[in-house]
Amino acid sequence: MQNNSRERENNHHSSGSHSVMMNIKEKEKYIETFNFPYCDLTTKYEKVTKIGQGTFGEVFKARDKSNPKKFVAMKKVLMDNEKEGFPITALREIRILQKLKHENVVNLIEICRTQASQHNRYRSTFYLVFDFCEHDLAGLLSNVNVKFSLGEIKKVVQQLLNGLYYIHNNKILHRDMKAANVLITKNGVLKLADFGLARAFSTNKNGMPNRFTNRVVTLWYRPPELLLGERNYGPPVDLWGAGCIMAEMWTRSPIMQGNSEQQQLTLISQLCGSITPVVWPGVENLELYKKMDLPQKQKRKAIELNADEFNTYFVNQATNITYKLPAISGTPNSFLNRAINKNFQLHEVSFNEICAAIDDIKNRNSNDVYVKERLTPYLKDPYACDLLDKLLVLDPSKRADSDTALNHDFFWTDPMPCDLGKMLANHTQSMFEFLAPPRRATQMRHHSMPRPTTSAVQDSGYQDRVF
Amino acid sequence: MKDVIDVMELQREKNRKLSPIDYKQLEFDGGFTPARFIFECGIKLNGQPLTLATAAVVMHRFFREVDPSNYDCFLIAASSLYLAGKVKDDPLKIRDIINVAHNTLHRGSSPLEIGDEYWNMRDAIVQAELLIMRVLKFEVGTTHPHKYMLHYLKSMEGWLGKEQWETLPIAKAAAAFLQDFHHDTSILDYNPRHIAIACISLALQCYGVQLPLIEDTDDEAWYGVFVKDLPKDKHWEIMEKIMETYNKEPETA
Repeated sequence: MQNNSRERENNHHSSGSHSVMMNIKEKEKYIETFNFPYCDLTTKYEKVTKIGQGTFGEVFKARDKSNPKKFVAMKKVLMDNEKEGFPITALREIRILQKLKHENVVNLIEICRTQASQHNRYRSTFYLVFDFCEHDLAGLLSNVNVKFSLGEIKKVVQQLLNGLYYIHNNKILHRDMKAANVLITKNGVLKLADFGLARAFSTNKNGMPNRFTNRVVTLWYRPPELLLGERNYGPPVDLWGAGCIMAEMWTRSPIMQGNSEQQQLTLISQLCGSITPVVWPGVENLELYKKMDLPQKQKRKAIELNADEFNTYFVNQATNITYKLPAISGTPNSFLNRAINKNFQLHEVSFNEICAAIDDIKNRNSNDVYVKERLTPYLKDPYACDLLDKLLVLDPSKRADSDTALNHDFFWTDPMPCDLGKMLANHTQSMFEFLAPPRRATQMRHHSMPRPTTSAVQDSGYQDRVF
Repeated sequence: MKDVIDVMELQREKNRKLSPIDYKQLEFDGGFTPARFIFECGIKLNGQPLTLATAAVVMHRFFREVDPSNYDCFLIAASSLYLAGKVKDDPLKIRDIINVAHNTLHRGSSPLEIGDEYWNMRDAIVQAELLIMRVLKFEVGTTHPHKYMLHYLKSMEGWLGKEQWETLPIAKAAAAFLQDFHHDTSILDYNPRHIAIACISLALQCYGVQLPLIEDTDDEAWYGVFVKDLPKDKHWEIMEKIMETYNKEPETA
């Protein structure tokens, strides 16, 4: 690279490298020893164990060599398309993380590089270096020994909404809300993490609707507007995810585990009621509204999870079936009687709907009954029900924003949100979804469950749980 | 206004014929040459103004950190454009950048064939992008004066009255000054809000506009409603820098 301007132009197009004055050996030496004052080598950290793996790449826990008490998480930047240079998605993530500094958002310390050498064809790998957090929420929820009191649940949800309030205020959408992306330190401080899908948004660009991709958010946490093809979306997509995560605090596993977009929409309809222009004006204009099969006559029961509602819902189902096939087996008689007594408007039910209802009953898997059965005993707190009711709203324009949610009585009534530190102090193992045994249906995972073979490492009283 | 600029002189300058620059004949010139190259290529590539501004700022910042004589300034310029496209979500295709850059440096030549030369250039741009990011601590976002300028100009439209406002190309001139000031590395030295004000001041003076309801006195300037921390000498200094930028433009045949 040592050349004057005259050689520079002669050289500019004759070769990709910059020098005619250096031979190959000198050039390699030059690259190897080139000093970047603002971009340190990864060797300042010592890898401890792998704590995550996904589409985004690998995440490691590492120790700061200059301060052995300090731990960091190192996330590798995947450079799969070398010909296009630094990935625009990674660049976005970095710029967003540089801008966001908040107690409830994961803190980016720096970006490190590996030494360029012969072994990597003189191409460095880059790592994002974060403050280390001991747990993720998915890992905590998968451990039956971790019990949250109502006050502690409130604290988790409150911090989650606080983080969302901050990022939305800074015009950033997270777009990948899920329990595994919610980190919790051993002191009980929650941090939103993984901004790999995040992007900036503007509310109104000369009245032009935004054209964002709707292929974002893990399916189980994806809001109905994205499933129906909306591209002009905003902060409500994250609040849907927050609602799903909040419910998960009680159910301890994701509340709607669809295995396709279609099934996800069905599950949403069953929980939140049918998706119709009546409850959601304008939904009929969404690209996939007509293409998707949306269950009709679903009652919104997500949140009014009491026995009566449940029964009514079930009667509806049963009624549909008795219309054409009164002798279907397994339909409780009491329901049939009540259905007939209540004189439902059966004539509105099409044959297709009946067939769908039958399929529904036949295929009824754990998901369907389970939301109610799982939630009913736990969700006794009327404020929790009410807040969930405001977060899991089909129409994104009517969904509560984080500010409204934070002002909800749920957070301002006894038991008040209380510190998680004490409860977490009982657990001296890191809990990450990656390290936990499979607790959820695995079909939606990006990866098969790897079993780390490294031995458990003891440090700062924290053991990295390895199965 | 007390500080008078020789507008006529500027006007006369404008009348000369522009002919294409032969970049290969030019020196680095404190970053002016690669900046000029960025704007020429960027406009041909249909980049957004903020993308080009980002590219220029990235390039100037890079050359402040390193010894410019060690690097091919056109390679860094092309790479800055590529990076700026990603930063601003206004992606410029690398193949387009290569073709435009090549044609701008070698006017009239045919497009590069896909071959060693093309792939070497592509690799060089990609590698230079990583180099730039490392040198700049991955902090490649910038606070642009543009957003402040827009805000000030919008307020001034009401201040002057829509009718008078529309008879004068103040906004256009100010925007042009701002873009052109990105040719000079001193764009890095000033507060973005101050730069915005200086560009507008220059535009006001060029068209001899006096804002109503305010006297320019020693203690008070027209822009006092917008920025409180801009002393008059600083204000004048930035305006001079902007004007100087025009003197740097190479004489063309």
